[in-house]
Parts: sequence; structure tokens; C-alpha cells
Amino acid sequence: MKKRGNLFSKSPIISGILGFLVTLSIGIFISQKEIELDRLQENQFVNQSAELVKDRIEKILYTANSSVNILAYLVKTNDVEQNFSEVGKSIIDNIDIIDQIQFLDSGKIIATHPLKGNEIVIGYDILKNPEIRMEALAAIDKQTLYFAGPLKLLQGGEGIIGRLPLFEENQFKGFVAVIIDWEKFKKEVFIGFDDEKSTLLFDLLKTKPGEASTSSLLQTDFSEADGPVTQIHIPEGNWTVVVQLKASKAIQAHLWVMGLRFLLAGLLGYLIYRFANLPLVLSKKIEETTKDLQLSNQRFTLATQATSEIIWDWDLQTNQTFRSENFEKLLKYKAEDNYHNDAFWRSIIHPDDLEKVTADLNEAIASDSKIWSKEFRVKNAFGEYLDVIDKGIILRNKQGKAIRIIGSTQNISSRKKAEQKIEEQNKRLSNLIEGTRAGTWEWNVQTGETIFNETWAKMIGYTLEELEPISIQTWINHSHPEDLAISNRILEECFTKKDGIYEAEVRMRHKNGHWIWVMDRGKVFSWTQEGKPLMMFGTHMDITEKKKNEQELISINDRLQSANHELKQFASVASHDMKEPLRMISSFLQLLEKKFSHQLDEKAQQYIHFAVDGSKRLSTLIEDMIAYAAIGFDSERLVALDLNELVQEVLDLKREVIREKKAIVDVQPLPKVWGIPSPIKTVLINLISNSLKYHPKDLSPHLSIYAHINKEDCQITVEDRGIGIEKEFFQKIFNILERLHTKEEYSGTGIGLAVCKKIIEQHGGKIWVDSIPGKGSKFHFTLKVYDESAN
Amino acid sequence: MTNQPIDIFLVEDNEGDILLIQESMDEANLSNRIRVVRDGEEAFQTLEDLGTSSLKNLPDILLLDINLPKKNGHEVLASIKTNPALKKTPIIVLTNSSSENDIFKAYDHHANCYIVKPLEIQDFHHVVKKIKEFWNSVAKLPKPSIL
Repeated sequence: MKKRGNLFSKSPIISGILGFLVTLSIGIFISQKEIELDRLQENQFVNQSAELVKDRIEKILYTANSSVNILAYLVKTNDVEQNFSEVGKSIIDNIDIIDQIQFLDSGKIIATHPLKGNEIVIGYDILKNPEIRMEALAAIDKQTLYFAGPLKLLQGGEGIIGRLPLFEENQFKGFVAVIIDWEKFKKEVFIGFDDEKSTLLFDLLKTKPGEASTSSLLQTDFSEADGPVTQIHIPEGNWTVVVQLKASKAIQAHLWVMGLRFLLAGLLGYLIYRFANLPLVLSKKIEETTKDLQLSNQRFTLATQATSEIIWDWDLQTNQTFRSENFEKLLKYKAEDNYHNDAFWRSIIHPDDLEKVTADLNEAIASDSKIWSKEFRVKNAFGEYLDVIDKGIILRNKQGKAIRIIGSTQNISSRKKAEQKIEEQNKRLSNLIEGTRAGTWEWNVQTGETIFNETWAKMIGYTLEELEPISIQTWINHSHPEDLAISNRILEECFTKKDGIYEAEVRMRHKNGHWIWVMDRGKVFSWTQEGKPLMMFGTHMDITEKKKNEQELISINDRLQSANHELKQFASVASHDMKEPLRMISSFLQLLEKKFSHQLDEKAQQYIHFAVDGSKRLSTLIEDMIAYAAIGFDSERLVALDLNELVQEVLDLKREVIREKKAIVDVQPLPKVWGIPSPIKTVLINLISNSLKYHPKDLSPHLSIYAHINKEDCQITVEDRGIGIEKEFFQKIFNILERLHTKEEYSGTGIGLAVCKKIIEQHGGKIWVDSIPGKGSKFHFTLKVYDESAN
Repeated sequence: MTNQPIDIFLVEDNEGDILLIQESMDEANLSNRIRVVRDGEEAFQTLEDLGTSSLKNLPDILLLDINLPKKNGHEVLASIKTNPALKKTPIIVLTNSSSENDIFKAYDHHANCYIVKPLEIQDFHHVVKKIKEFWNSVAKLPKPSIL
């Protein structure tokens, strides 16, 4: 198994700490931003509060300002003395905040309203009081309304005094002043901010002109406050509004969030640690389990190697399939074919099988079956199909759903081939049996149980059904009693023989009542331990037709033989009955000639001569014809014939003629042949006689006798330099009674060559002639060579 | 060499041949007694009668043709040669047939001689003469002594 996230899981603690720190940093950063935001909000709140205070002050100042400006206008119009009280009253009545108004000529207060209670101030020159003088001068200096105080008033109480300097032709003339009660002012300005619940602290600072230090007008204690502070300067009185938040809640409010974030970071760090640690833990666990599994795994590996089967493990959920090495060995696929999946497997199943296999498999998966098995064909890498048997164990989850199948694939091609071969052989055998139209039987000799095929029954006109119940008795019942005895005898014999072969020609009764001839053949195929025949198989062949033909042939042969015999008889009789009268004619004519020659004239004697000659020739003819008819062939009389000797005998017979005609005879060495002596001698006599006979009158005969040996037969040639034969007669001369010459030229009956032909053909040979008229003839005939080494 | 006349028993149905044989005998100038029987049955019957009465009456030689009416030469030959009383008589088969079959058959039946009747009259005379000469003077016949 491949290790993933190596760096991550290598040191889980570091991973955990890193995770913690990163998360914490992010948390702190967020908190910081949140605090900043809160602070900003607090600042804003403080600023807004300060602005509000300032606004309130300015509103008062504005009111005061408008009041003094009215008064200043009165001054300008010199109405001040007449209307001061009236205007003053109106101002005081309408503007609550203003307590008193004053008019000063230069520094001297010359008018005030309300006058009552304030009489004391009339005539008071403020410029002469050093405490007041500075601020009064500051107003003159600024040439606008300027507030002084708070200060203790002559008329009692505390107040702030706004003075507007008045100028005439740029000459300072005096002031108009408004006095605002300090307590009223404070109340008006700080309303809403002065209760104890307020989160804010306020102060009003006063910087007196010509003085560097400021003094707190409200004497507020800021020492415990830590919130944001803001200050706004109000030039009209040289005041500074100070506002501070008593306590900043920005950090406080976020402390618990930060705490949570810290915890979260810690938790995350821990989780990362655990997660990083997981492979290690797992690998440890795996290691432990592996150790346990190693042995069984080893066994499994060895088993997969030892077996020729492909072991496979198919995860139905991922559709991944593990296949053992044998997959490559058996089917020749390579790893790059990416065969570890179900789709690949389906792609190599024979198209004709795929549907069935898929259906079968789906059915097995859908059912609660624990095993699956199927035979089909798969294609190897070369595109050849192999027969395999696939067997699998289906693993199911608790719900019974198939999740995994583990199994094996076995190559059964050779078994299939063998099965196919057997099937083919069986088929061929049954075809053969059917083709031979043989009935078959299987007989348990010991129990008598017998099985016949349909043809067996059909042969005797039945169906197997009709013959039920079938046993050996069925055969006995239908056998001819005479032949059954023969069969039993032959069977007894066969049971004592090693080969156990049985054969008999027997008759069986046909359903229609007639007898059919059957060639019954069988063989004992197994024997009991005691050596008795056990199982015997055999065939029945209908040979009725053959038998009939045989018998017909025998009777034809008989008839032929008797005909032949009659013919021979006829020839024999003919030789007597024809020759005898001939001899009578000839004999008595001769007697007549002999005894009465002196009484006969020449003519009569000539007549007698022709008559005698004719009867002589007729006698020879008859003699030859009888000989021709009598030529018989009996292969038993075939012997090894030395042609050299035979030719010599013939030449001896003919030696008179040879000497007389001064013939030259050249005999080459001749082979030994298969032949019957006397007929072959007849052939040689005829051929040699012809050669000696048919030659030009003025030339001596010249004969050559030689042989040419082929593989099995030899060709013997009798060559002469005689008169020759025209090509058109080459065939004809071998016909009986064919003559080419008159008896005056060359005597002969025309039977000799016919006799030769008959004899040679009976010996299985051929005879023919080559000839050039006037040059000579070559008579060839063939005979079988006698092979001494073979015999 | 003795030259006494012999008894010849000729079994022959052909009158021409009978004449020719007799003429040939005459030509040889030998006085022989010739008895002629014209069919096979008669021939055997006569011989049997002769044989049973007295051996002396039996002919010295028998000239037998094959082609005979009623009972052919082979049958006559077989009957004689299987008859203890008659079988000693020498039998000369004198016939037209030159067939191998007849020749073999005749000797099988213990014929003493087989002669084919020659076509030439000269030869015929010659043959008859030779028969007479041979059986008369050369051969010793199983003849009981008269003395």
C-alpha cells in the first residue's frame, strides 16, 4: 500500500502545533480587527458626545451672541439709554439661559438688567480689576464676543460673562455683556451626561489669557478612566471640552471570543495532530493485522502461484477487480491493458456467451446465493478464445446485498476440446453406424440385459417399442432355430478366445414372416474377474440382398460351368463326328487312287488329289479350332517358367525347318516368368513358326528373340526380317480365322495368333505387333516376371 | 520272335474303319482272326460271356474305339479293366480323338495303348501293321498255354 501525505503524517505533533498556531494567529488577527473596530466605535461615541457638548455650548453662545448683537445695535443707534431696560427685559424673559445683561462704557458698568439685586455692579470698572481685566482685554483684542469665567460675581453666585467690545470709528467705546449662571450653564450643557450610570467622563478646561496652564472647571477625576479621550476647543471662551470613556469595553467584549478562538485553535491543532497521527496508528494497526494475515496471505499467494487458475476479487461497490498473476500468464494481457476492472472482463467474454453470463451473474447477485459458477469463452490477447470455468463466492453485507465476489477462473480448453473430440467421435461413430445402416447391440452376457438400437429393430420390421421388454431373449426369439445353434456354438468358441471376436451369418424372422439374412458381428469388451465374458458389443448387418446375389451368382456359375462343360463336350464330340467322316472321305479317296490308279485318267487323279487335300485342310482346321476352344486357364498350374529353356525346346522342334531354310535365329537371355508351360510353348511355337514362314522366298529367315524387363512384367519380342504387315491389319491378325495370304502363298488356318492372344490374355498379359511391310515384324507379348527373391 | 496268329476283338461302329482295318490287316498279310462288335454294350456283354465260359475264348487283344453307340469306349474300357476276369486283356484304344482329355482318361482306365487314327491312308496301313507286329511278335500276351 502506498503511503500518502508523508510530510504531514511524519511528525503529527509538529503538524498539530503548526495547525494550532496558524489557527490562533488567524483568531488573534480577527479579534484584533474586531477590537479595533470596537475602539473605533468607542472613539466615535466619545467624539459624538464631545460634539454634542460643544453644540450645546455653542447654542448657548449663539443665543448670547444674538442678544449682545441686539444690544450692540441699540448702542449704535444711541437708543441704549431709552430702551435698555425694555430690550433687556425682553431678552431676559425670552432667553432663559441669560441671567443678566450689562452695558459698559469703556470698563465701567453703566447699565444692567435686571437692576434689582444687581445695583452693586453699577459703576464698577472691570478694567480695574486685574482678575477680570485680562479677559476683558482679550475680548477687545478679538473684537468679537468673548466669554470670561466662570468667576464669582459681585452680585453673588458664579457665572460666565460674554462681552462684546463696541467700537466707534475704531475707538473702543465699551462692552455689551451677558451673564449666564454657571450652574444653569452646566445643567444645560451636561444634561444626560451627569448621572452616575453614564459611561463618559466630562470636563471643561479653561485657559485664561496670558496664562499657560489650564484649569479644570468641573474638577473631574480622570485618573480611573482608561477609555478613549477627545478634546474640542471652543475659542469663544477659550474652553476645551474633554470627554473620556470611563472604561473601554473593546477588549473586554472580545476576551471570551478570543478565549473561544484559542480553544478552537487548540482543538484544531489537536485534531490535526490526531489526523496526522492516523496513518501511523493505522499503519501500526495494519502492521499488526498484516502480521496476522501474513501467514494466511502467504499461503494464499503460494496457492495462487501453485494453481493454474486465475484468482480474482471483485469489489462490487468500486467495481474494481483484483486479478492474480495467472491472468497475464493465461490470457497474455499486460498490465497496461488495465484489466483490473469489470468492464475489461466483460469486453473479453465471447459475444455469444456474454448475455448468458451476465444474466446468470446478475441472477446470482440478486438472489441469496453464496456461490456462482459458469462455463464460457474468453478471448486472450491474441484474439483466440479459451474455454474457462468461473467460480465465485459471493460475500454479502448484513442486508444481504452482494458487495464482493471472490473466485477463480480455470482454463478448461483442453477438457472442452477433449469433450468436443469425444462428442465429435461419438457423432461420427453414430453417423458411421447410421451410414452403415447397421443395427447395434450391447449385451451383458452375465445378466442377459441387452440394448438394441432402432436400426436393429427396424431390420426385422419392428420398432424398439414393439419389442419391449428387450433382453437377449428378444434375439433368441427372432433367430432361426438352425442358425441359433450355429450362433451359440460360435459364441461358446469366442468366449474361450482372447480377442473375443464373434462373427456369424444367421437368419432372423422378419415381422412379415419371411427370413432375413444378418451378418452378426461382435466382440467381448470386458470380462469378469473369473474370466467370464461380461459386456459384449456388436452389429447386425442386413445381408439378405447379398445372400440372394450370392446364391444367384452360384447358380449362374453353375449354369455357366455346365454350359462350358457342354461346350467342351461339344468340341470333343465335334472332333470325332466331324473328323471321322472327313477321314473316311480322305481315306477312301486315297484307297481309290491307290488301287484303281491304272483305271483312272490324269484328270480323275487330279480331282481325287483336290478332294484329299481339302479334306486334309479341313481336318487341320477342325483340329486347330478344337485346340482354340479347349484353351483353358487354371491358375494352380502356374509355375516359374524359364523362357530360355522353352525357346530352346521350340527351336529343337523346328530345327528341321530352320536347317532347311537356313534361318538365322538370335536368342538373347530371357527371364523367368509366371506361366503354364504348354500354352506358353504354343505361343512361342506359333510366333516362331510364323517368323520362319512369312519371309520373302529368296531370303533366309532372320529371327531375334529378346526380352525387356519392367518392374513386374516383362516384354518378350520375336522379331523377323520377313514380309511385314500393313498397319491396318495390326489388330485384325489376332482375330480368329483371319488370314492375310492365300494358302498357295503361305499355308495356315488363321487361328494361330488368335490362340496366342487368348493364351497371353488368360495369363494377364498383352500381345501386339509392330511392323513395316517389306522390312519385318516385331511380335511383342507381356508376362509377369517370376521374382526369385520374393518366392 | 514268335509269329503265330492272334485273336483280335475290334469294337468299332464305323463300317469304313472296319473295312480299312481289315484291308490293312490283309495288306500286312497276316492271318488273324478278327471279331467285330459294333456297339459298346454288345462289346462288353460278349467279352463277359466269353470270360465266364472259358479264359481260352477271350481275344488276345482288343481294338477299342471311343465314340461308340450305347456305351462309349471309356465306359467299356472301365468296365473291362475293373472286371477281374477280363482286365488282363490288353486294350488298344484306336480312335479319331486326339484330345488330351480322351488320352488321359483312357490311360487312367488302364488302357494299354492309345492310337489316333491317321488321316493319311499310308499312315493308317502303317499303324495297323505296326500294331500287329508288336502284339504278334514283340509283346508277350497273358495267354494260357494250350499245351
